[in-house]
Amino acid sequence: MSLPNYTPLNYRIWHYTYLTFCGLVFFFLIAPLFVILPLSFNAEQYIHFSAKMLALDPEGFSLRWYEDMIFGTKNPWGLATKNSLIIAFFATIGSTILGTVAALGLSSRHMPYKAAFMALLISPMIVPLIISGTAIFFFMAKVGLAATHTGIILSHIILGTPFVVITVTATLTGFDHSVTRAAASLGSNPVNTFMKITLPLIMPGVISGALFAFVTSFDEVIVVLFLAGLENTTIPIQMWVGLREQLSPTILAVATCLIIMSTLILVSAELLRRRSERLRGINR
Amino acid sequence: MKKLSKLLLALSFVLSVATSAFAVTVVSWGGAYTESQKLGYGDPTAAKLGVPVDWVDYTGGLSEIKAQKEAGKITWDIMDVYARDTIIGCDEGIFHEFDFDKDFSPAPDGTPASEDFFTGMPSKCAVGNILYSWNYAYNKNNVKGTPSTMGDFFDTKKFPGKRAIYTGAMSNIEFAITADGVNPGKGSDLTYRKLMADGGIDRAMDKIKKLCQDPNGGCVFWNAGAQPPELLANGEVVMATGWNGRFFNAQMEGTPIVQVWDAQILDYEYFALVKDGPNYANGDAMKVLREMTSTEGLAGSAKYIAYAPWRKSSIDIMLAGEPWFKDGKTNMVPHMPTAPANTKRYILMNPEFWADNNDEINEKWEAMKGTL
Amino acid sequence: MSQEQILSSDGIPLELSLKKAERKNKLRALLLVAPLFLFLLITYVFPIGDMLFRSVDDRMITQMLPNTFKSLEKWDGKELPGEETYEAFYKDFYPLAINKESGKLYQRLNYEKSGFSSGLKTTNRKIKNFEQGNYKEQFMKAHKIWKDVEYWTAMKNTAPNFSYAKYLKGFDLTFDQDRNIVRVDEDRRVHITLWLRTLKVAFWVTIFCFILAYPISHLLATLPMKYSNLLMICVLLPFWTSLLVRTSSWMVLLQQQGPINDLIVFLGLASDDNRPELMYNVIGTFVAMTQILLPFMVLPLYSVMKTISPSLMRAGKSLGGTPLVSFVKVYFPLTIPGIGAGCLLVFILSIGYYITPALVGGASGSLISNTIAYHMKSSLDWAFASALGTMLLVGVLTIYWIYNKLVGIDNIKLG
Repeated sequence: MSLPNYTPLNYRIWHYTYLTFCGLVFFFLIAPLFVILPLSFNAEQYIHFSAKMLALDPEGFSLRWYEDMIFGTKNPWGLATKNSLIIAFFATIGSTILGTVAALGLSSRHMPYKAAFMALLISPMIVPLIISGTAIFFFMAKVGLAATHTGIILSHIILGTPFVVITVTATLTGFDHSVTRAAASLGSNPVNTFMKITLPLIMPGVISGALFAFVTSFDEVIVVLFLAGLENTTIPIQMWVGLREQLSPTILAVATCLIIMSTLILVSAELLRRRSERLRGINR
Repeated sequence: MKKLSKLLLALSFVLSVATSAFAVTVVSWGGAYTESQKLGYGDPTAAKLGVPVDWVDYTGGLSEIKAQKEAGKITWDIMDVYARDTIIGCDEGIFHEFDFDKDFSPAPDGTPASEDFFTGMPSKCAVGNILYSWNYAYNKNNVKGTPSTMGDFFDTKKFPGKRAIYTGAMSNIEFAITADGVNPGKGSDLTYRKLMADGGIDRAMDKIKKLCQDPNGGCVFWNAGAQPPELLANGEVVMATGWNGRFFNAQMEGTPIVQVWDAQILDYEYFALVKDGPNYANGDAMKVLREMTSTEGLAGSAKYIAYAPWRKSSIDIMLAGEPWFKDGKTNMVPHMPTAPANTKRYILMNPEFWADNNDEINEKWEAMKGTL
Repeated sequence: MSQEQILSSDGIPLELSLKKAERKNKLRALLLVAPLFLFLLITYVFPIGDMLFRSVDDRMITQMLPNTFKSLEKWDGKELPGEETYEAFYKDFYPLAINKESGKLYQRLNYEKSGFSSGLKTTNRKIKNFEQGNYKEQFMKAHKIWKDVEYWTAMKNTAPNFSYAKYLKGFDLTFDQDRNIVRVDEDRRVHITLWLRTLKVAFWVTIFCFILAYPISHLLATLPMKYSNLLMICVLLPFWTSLLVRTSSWMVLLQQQGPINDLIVFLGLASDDNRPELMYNVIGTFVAMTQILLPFMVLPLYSVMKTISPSLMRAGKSLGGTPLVSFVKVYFPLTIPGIGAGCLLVFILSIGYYITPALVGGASGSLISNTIAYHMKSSLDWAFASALGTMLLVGVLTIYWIYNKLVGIDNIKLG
């Protein structure tokens, strides 16, 4: 962003201050994440930079925490990863289906009391997690679903659907309903219309909602802390235990892997968004 | 293809649940201590009995097991607990009452179990495993001078810097009242008598509050055994209370810390068997517990950490086999809490005091922490 | 404007046809929403209502000690109750002690008056040796609480089936002997402090997030696509990264001997012996939460700023305003929906934050959600945890209501 050369000096100062400030803020946002990467290679068993590391001495670095993460028998990272993936998978499917169907209903112009329903359906997202976690725990305990995969999956569906509802309704606001009417006039029944016409068009919104729901479930800490038993331990639980109690740098190795995973998800979300813009461009 | 992968996923999930239900779950304090238990008697027991033993970490207290009971799904079999928790848990029907000589193995020379353990158990639901100590340590690279008494821990003029103390009231109020002038001698009950007197607890808490609010001092609260050595190593605090075995292990790994044994709190640790745990009915949990608390079992754990096993016969094995530490070079007995050099002044932890007064004291303690 | 009814092709009046079609469409829309609605109703709304109920439900104790409470009804509360009450209590308590079911009793009564727990536990152990008859004497010998009228009054105070005592406790109030509302002892007054601290932290985090986010959102909105996308990564990557990962990186950074303190000493802002304490206090909570919540402020602001055409600013300037004036009068008002959404989101999230204060806040940086979690997991006073949760929920809903009145809730965009 270069300034035209007739800009007076005080404007220039103002402009460069502004850019420097922005630069600092971006640094503030992103730098903390990258502190973890070198620490996960720490040869000692503490989560701070040892003298050897700061001197860039190769002896200060090792892959032992990654080995511990994959092969270590003490920490159930394997079980946690498996559980996290299973739970997130089923929770995402549940959220996406329920959320998309509800969004279809909400976006219909015939929907009565739209604002009230909308508020209710996205309430799990806006109520602080500690309250939701407490309430859900009592309920699951009462119906005997505490410490079960099913209970956790249901809770994550509760927490994930608001995201799907929001993204799909946003996509549907730009949706041209005349195509569905055209399909109907050509003899298609509503289900067929949905599957063949509506769904492909709103797919980017559905998928981005599904991504949100997946990440919400995968990273969820509070509700699983209350609900999960031994067999349902998830990656966030192990990280929490690791940070509070065990303090082993293995969690930093896990954190690094999670950062890489987030980057991949981010890249795919971005690619999807660009694809949807291209599609919409065609449709307009 | 999608259907097949979904089926496989579901199948693997079912399988994973099925296989882990048979392992006996032992809950303990994590870090170096659980490591010592696993290597000392957990793995040998699992190998001998053919029953897998899983280790889970917790930070003490009965809240989690009570919550499990309340939620209707108990997943723990055996718990390694504070003395006061064996009393509370027994009174409230959480733990199984033992028939001591029948349930636990005799010493190799035939002495029945109840006589082989040092002293009597605090409750019918407890079987002792180790003797350990609450003491404090400092980082010799960060502290000028040599702290040597409990008073020095609270002396921020001579030794400025932050301290790390346990997150609950237990151990803190005993240390505080000792530093305030109550001499415990060799395990006399003066400490607890003074605490139970009117204003005793307030006196102790005020001393802690002063330490935490002192600009030259300050407190960090630890709740996991692994934290004190870590906080000392990374320089966050200059002195930390903690469990002696963890300090010992950190020293063996090279951390430059020095332990101070003055007015240490000698404490016993116990196993308890959870009633209606997953392996309670089939008897596997009891079998595992019996094997782990046998003479060889308990002696085994002392190879890995500086806690004294509770059976006389185990100590005999240790003495005969010195140097007993896993590195094959270090004698363990001098590092034990019971060594003469470490027991010049000590407090004997009083479990009944804590079993009865824990709720009240902790309420005051939490309120004090909230105003810091 | 014909007076006859217009008929549709099958002979039915058009209005009726239309109404029928409308109803069918409404029904169809409702049916689509129904599955999620019912699901949330059963698994979410109902549990929250149950939580509210749990915070006032106090029937457990009268069910555990029926005889005692019946006897206490006649008691006047002035002096110690008579032998019949002690006998009734023995009848209720003895089977509980034998069957080891008295645990919940200790907790419940101890919340009412400290000292019950130790008294009851000691009595529990001695009650098995009681002889028949003479109960008052034996109880008083077993533990001193039975000699104290205040304990019996406290027990009687738990008689009502529904009690809002937990809500009083949330404001550091309690019932005294005569059911008046008084403040709790000085050394127990901690909850008001916590509420104020939570609100303070949430407020300042919101302000700081706003100050930091506004410039970079403007930059992102005005830069050409390829640059802004690249910089957007700096915002989105933290957003997609697990909260625990971000908090753990702060745990590393804020240590006494950590990189930030090293930098401060290097720049000469503090001496090596006197390193500022950045962790285990409010500062730690504050700094970590600001960084973690910053993306939530940036995204709404960005999505609103993107819709503002740059020609508006130019128009302002061309009408004679300095850049500052056109900014204040033209640009800023247009961004208000985004500011509102961002501030609301960040404020609500900060009030409910639990993980970050628990890990970097220490004792003095802990917030109300940490207290709720403490009562859920450690002290097991679920009624109190529910009461605090309900209070928090009511507070949050009030904020939404105020926001809706001022700005309008349809303006929320997540970008």
